[in-house]
Amino acid sequence: MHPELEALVRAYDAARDGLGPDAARLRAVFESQVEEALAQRPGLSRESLLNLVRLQHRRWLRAQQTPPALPPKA
Amino acid sequence: MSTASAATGSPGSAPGWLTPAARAVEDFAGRSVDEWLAVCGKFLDWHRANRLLQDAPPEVCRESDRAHAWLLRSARMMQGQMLDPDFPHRELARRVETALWQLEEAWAQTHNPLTDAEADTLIARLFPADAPGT
Repeated sequence: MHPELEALVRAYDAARDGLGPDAARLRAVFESQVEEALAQRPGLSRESLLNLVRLQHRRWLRAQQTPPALPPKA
Repeated sequence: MSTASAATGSPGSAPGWLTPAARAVEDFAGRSVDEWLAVCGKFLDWHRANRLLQDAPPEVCRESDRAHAWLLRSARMMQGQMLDPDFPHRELARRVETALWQLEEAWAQTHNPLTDAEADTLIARLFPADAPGT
């Protein structure tokens, strides 16, 4: 994955995880990365970028899952 | 609770019999919101495990969407009440705002109009794999 997209996905994941005292700051970090990405890509709408991050986050979460253990050999 | 005076005026002006009652109301509000936040946290954990990490059966999705929509409505209602400058629990208000955002994002993820093919086209155009640093 492109490092900038991965950074967006990781920041999104951190902001989405938990309602602790740090949650608002993590959301602000994500929002600032979104603004930065948009500033570098004129013409890209915020909603398109967010939909891309949402979808990519789902793919990334699934890729993080530990693969099931192999069945024992007979 | 030191914030009791926020809802009832200054401690000196509040009638003596009102202060404990106002405090009880504030405590109740705080406990209720806290409990609601715990329910939201549990729902979001469940959503991640069952809707994001795997494809749930359609009937589970429908039931989950109903609960999700209800939580969204209650979060918006609660946030509206907390915008009142007299609401004494500022930290809880901030947490409800975060919970609302997380609920909205969770909903947007499971109702994302972007298809996998469209996402791949966008990624190739906006985040090319052969860009410097990749």
